[in-house]
Amino acid sequence: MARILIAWELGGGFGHVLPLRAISVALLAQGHQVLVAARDLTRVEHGFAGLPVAVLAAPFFPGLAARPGQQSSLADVLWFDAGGHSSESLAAVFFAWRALLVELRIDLLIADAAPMAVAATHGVVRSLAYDGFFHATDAAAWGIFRDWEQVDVAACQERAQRLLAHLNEVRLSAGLGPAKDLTHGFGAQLQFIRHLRALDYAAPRADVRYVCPSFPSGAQAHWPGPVQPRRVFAYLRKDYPQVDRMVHALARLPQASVICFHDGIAVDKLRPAAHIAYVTETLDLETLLPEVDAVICHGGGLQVRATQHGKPVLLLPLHTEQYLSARMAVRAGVALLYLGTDERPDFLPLIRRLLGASALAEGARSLAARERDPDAVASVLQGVQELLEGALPDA
Amino acid sequence: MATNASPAKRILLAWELGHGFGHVYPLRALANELLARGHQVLVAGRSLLRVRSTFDDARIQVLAAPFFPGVMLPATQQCSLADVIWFDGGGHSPSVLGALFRAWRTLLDELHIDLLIADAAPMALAGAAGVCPALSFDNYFHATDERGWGIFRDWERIDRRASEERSRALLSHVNLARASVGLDPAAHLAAAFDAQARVIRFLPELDYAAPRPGVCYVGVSNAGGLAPDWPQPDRRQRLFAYVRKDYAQLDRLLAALATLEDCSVLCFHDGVPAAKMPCAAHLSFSAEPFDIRAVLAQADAVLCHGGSLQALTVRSGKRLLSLPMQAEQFLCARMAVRLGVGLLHLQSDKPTELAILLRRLLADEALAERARALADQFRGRDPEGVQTVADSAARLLAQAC
Repeated sequence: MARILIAWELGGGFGHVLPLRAISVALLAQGHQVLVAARDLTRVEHGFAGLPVAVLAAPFFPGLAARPGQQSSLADVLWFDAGGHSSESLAAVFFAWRALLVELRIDLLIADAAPMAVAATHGVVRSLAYDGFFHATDAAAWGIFRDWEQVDVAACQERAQRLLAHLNEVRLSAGLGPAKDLTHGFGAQLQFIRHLRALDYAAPRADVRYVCPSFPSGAQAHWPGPVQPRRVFAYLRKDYPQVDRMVHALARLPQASVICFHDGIAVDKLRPAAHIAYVTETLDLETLLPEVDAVICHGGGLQVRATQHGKPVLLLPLHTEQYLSARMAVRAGVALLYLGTDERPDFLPLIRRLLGASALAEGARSLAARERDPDAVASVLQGVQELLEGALPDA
Repeated sequence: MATNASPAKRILLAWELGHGFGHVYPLRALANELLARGHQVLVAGRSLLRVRSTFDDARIQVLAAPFFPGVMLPATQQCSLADVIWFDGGGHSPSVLGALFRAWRTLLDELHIDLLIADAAPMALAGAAGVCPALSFDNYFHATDERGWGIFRDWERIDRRASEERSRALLSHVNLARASVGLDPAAHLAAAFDAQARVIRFLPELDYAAPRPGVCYVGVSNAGGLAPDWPQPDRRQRLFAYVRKDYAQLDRLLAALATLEDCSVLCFHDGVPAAKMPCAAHLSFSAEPFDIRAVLAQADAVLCHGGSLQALTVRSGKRLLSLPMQAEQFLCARMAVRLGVGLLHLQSDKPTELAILLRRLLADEALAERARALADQFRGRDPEGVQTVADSAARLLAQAC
């Protein structure tokens, strides 16, 4: 059996952790040893609670703290948030990953939004990428995604060129040949994307397998009684600027039963109401989602899974990645999107529209029926087996 | 060079808190000695960039230290070591502290580490309990012995009760983490963050918490570096300056150095932009570290912000002007002033006083005489740092076998 390191570098939220937990459960069941390296140790400990996995700190560069508006491509994300802006910082992170992989005697890396970890595997460890669409480092991923506002395209392209130069300087010092492009430099041997092709702004992608994300089993949801004719599941993050207003709107929706999962919203902000249950424990989405009429969330894996269950979604994106997918969902006629910046928006009309628009639900069901991707866990396990039976990758 | 008859061991050097080369250079010197004794050396640091630049050696693996980015509160709220761990080390929350504690344990366990040597790495020390023996090789500020846990901020009004409450909560958080891995609760913070051997690379005379029982003070060891190349070396005096680019009065300081025409000034810096460096024949700048022992043997006086260089300067019998940028540096600078061997300029002092103080530093013969006399008192008293730590490590490894 193999020693498998699951690495997560970029991004936040349970949308990374929970799919990785589902993969880990399956790997452990096959007798593999699983280690997890992540930036956000507290979230990983929470997400992997009860599993016999070793949790370690991921090497990372704290970032340049540049305005997110400057990030217009995946190369920019690596430049500003992952140490790509200088060959020295890129080398520090690259070699710290390589040392971890070698010293831990890792046989295979499974990377979620961990481009620097993947780059460091070249020549020493087998690698499989299991990403959401945003951090996937395949050939389609390196273009400029910020198409809704004016960007300095030349500066962005210049950063991408310099990122490749920095990486190749580091590869040279590691005894590797130069990467011909960023796809090659940050590429894994196998690439899975847990997203819907129809919601992926960079689709179609070559050499990528789309899979249906799997969430681990969680606590059974208990609807607050008496159960109303409509049911809403909301996942709200405490750092969403208008979270108070959304909670306020949900509290004024007595004709629906609401389960609101959150990541630590202060108790005094949670408005008690007989029709709402607030929970922080991760729930069993596979039993919960079939029961709901609509989902409210910021984006990510829950958005995808809700759509795959044919449920309409109200999206409140917190960052670019979520906005890109939300925009695709609106275009596909399966979601509503709120981008307002009002300090005191009233979300109630929007929620009523979400519950009342049969076209949205029909669109979601239709899309779900069209896109039936294979199960992520089974696909990744098969990929792991393929890689472990094969030779070590070439540099 | 000593050799070790016992089999090679895997030794992890850990560095969590603080900045500057004062942490990495002593660790590099120690790593060289441990390698020479046949051990495998791994380094885990917060600042991967700084660690890698110092440990660029194929024999040494550099890894990321588990760390919490900090809650970004003003430094004035940090009144004790417990506060430092609370605000900068993840101690404020049981879940964060627990995650860091367990991540250190996992790292030590998975890497099969035989001995941890910690520099300003309290969470690594806490995490090592029951996993592997640990040795702390600190300067005075982060030393986690019994004397290290008092309130150090005695020069201004503070909320003592809040600080003491944070200490109690920190102990409670670390005991929760200990319980999660089956360890008994620690009776106090010194027990929770303890090491089996404690070495401080500082002068007890400059240590605000001295005397400390059970602690061995050692001299600073040399990690090599460039031979000093004094500009216009036949000037009447020589001043060595270590200047940091983020010093608030940097421009005024550089201008003052440019006026010291009787003096050869050798200036080491951490990335001061070339455009800010004044052109003067008696002044030269380098971002490459110097052989500090050779520098101190030839210098008449030293200007720095703080850290190991303060102690080394006083040990060498040279006058010192301290420009502290943080509490740790101020505490030491104040001790040097009390001993009559140093001058002090605070960031809140008038910038115009910098030039006056610099001239006084170079002209004050009484200051120079006291510095020489003090150094004579402890010449040969404290053992050399690296050999002492390596010998102590050997004893701990032998006990563990």
